[in-house]
Amino acid sequence: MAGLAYATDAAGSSGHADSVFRTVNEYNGISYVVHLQEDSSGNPACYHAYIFTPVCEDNLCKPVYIDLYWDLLGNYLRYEVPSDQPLTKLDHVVFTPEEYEKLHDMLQDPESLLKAYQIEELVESTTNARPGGDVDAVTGATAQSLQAVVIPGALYTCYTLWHIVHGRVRDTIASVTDSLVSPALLSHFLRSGNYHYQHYALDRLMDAQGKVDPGFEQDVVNLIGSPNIFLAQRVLKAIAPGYLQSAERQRWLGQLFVEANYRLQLALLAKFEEVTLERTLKKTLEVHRRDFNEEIATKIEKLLNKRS
Amino acid sequence: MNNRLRKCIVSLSLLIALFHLGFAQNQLLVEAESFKNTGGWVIDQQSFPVIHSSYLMAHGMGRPVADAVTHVHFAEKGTYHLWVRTKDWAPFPKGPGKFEVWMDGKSVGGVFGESGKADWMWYDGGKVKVDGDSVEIRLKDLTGFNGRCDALLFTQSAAEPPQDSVGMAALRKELLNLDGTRQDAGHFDLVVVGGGIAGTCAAISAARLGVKVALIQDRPVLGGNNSSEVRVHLMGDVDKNHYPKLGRIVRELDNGDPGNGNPDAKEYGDKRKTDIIKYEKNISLFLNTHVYRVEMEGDRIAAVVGRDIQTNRETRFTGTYFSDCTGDGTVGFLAGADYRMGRESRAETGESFAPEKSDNFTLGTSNLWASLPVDSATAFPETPWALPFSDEYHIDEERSDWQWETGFGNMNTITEAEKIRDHNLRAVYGNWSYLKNNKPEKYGKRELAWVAYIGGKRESRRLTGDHILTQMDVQEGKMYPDATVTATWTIDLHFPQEKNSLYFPGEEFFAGTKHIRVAPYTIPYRCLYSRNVPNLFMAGRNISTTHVAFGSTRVMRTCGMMGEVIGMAASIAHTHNTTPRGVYEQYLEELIGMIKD
Repeated sequence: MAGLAYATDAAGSSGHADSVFRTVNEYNGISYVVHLQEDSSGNPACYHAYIFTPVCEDNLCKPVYIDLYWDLLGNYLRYEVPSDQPLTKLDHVVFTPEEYEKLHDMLQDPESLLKAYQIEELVESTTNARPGGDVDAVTGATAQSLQAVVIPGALYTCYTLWHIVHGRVRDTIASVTDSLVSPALLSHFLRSGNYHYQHYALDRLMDAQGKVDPGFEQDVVNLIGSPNIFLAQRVLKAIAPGYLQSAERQRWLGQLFVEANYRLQLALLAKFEEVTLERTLKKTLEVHRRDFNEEIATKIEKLLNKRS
Repeated sequence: MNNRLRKCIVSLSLLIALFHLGFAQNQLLVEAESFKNTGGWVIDQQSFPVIHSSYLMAHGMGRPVADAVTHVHFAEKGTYHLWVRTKDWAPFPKGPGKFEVWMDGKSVGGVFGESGKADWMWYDGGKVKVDGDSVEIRLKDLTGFNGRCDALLFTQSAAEPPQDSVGMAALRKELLNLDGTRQDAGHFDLVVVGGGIAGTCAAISAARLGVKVALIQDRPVLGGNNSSEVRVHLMGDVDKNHYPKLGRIVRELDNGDPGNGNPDAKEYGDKRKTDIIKYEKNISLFLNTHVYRVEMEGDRIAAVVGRDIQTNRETRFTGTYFSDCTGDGTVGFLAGADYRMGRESRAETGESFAPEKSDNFTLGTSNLWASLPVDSATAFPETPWALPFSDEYHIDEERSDWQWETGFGNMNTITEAEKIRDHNLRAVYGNWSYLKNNKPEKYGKRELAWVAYIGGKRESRRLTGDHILTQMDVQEGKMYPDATVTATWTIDLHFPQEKNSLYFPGEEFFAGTKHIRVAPYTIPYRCLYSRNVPNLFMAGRNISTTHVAFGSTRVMRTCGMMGEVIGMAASIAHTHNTTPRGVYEQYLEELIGMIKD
């Protein structure tokens, strides 16, 4: 079995990415090995585990063979199933293509309804949910939503896989990645477009005063232009105003303001309160003062009238 | 009334019916909701308590709706100044609710609805020339994203019309001749205001006991939150009743459980509800009628006045007893009944789930929605005016459930009901736009099938009765001598979901809850009538409870049974010529006997 073979290889290994293997002992006795994979340039790329597990349902045990992939912070990426070992439901009926997709969707959701419940509760609420159903363990509404989340006849498979994917492996992966952190990796994270990586890098590169580690300033400032509004807002709110002082950066911010989503516009105007406005940015604001709404016009006016 | 006068009134009514307008001193007020053909626009009365009118809205889920068209008769040809009463419902920075006004085939006054200002106002449509007797007016929706128009005003006066809602109410009263055209519906033993589950059950229950009932509902359908306009399913059990006789009418209205926000409107059984009412000879049903005024005789309610949400004609109802089943406690509020809104403090009620300090927190309002699969991939526009989403945060769902909810004390569920609904729409459309444009593999071949424009409101005023039901009553299962309805729902107090708060602090639109389980308990009759308006009953979410207890009593099967009890109490009160309180004090045995029977 491939999983066990990895485990043998992994014994005593540490340090270099290529040789990182860790055994994960899950809560329910399932044990498997997770392995760091590199991209073609030798950079850490993702984690992989081959899993073989019996999935018990009504005393009928069926094996599941599956390859699982996580990103470098333990977020689920995808799964693969050997073509000769398809996933099956009750009575060994194989998954349909739609059900494979549904499984992926379900595994992608870290806040799945499966999280909060014991397997016994789920069996209760999905089999007993009836029209006008009562409230008992969960509300009628929740029981119905659960039926939409899981694949009929494969509740145990869904439940087991979700709890593996979002289980202890996340901590294992986090500790491995922490040990691999380097300036190159953090720089890669900031530019990755993966918000998990970006927040992770920000946690390490920007302090409580908004000071950014030398060498990363431009990469961090660039995140203000991210299509991910929540990330942009985080940086904008936290970053020390000194980084937004140069004429060049202010020109860029002015351009960004004109095209930004309303929420970012308000965040930018709030930040502009903290910096000394250069001539170009003032001009941009003046020109576009009346292009938006009353609130923005008032805020711009206040900024322009501020004594510098 | 002499014949000549009657004829005069008839022709006046006819004039209004034909032209849907008010005319005086060379001012012509055309109410948008009274357009002869509303096309694809919908009538929205939810902001009546604030703007004193209904309005038309282009609720096309992103596809422009068909024109609303009417013909207006001008007594005098000439040049008029056109004013258009509208707003920008999503001024962030500019909303999508754009529309044009066309007169006899030509656009006049430019584009409305994108001013960047949230207030309802008259917007200048410029000078228009009227050459013929009759002019065709069209409202042309440009986006399908909820543009709205309250009214058009043609005037030969140079003055700007009143911008505030009080001034507007006066102008409307004058130009629509509301006082001159009001009709009397007659006298009823019981006037039930609100045709949700509670009100409908109250009306049926009373009518079957021989009480002459007026049932007044401000929408074209009955059922309220359980109607196809809102689509919340019925909850609370009817099979654990201390008095099994209760719940029979609720069962008649129950159309099965389609869940929340089911895309199939028929599942909610609007027709079933209306059909049941039609068989009741003692019920006069008044749909599309929004009650906004009461007339008092001393501390008693003598009459209520409702306005048709489409024609704007008014009807006056006199009654011996009134029942406030409005949800908002509208009748009680207008009559000066004691009420509460928000949460009581722990010190005040002694409830462990009450907050340390009293506040304005309420449960929110839901605008449910659902999508359905379609054969080929479709587009949905970007929505820069809506709430923004990204791969980091969006709601990855094909349809909504109860969690889509806004108005947790950050907005007033009565005075800011429109803002709450609009915030819900900005969440729904913003999220859907994100899903359609960024997750095409999953959402490309799905389309919005339905988005509610009527908000499903959970909480607002609670009218105060002789007893205020508390958490202790609920949890200890106190059995008072006047125990009536049995309730079973958990104490289900919603709050903004933690993650949603993180991404939208102060602008939450997604709820969480903790269900505190309770054993079946009973609601005393004294929670079902006002303590200071002697002829006022109440049933539904606006009965006399604390905020915490309301968390359990508020579900609709339970509310329906309250209605059943009120119907019985009204019949007893009527027979003995006493008040709702008199029934408790002198005829409780008779009431309980009737419930038991």
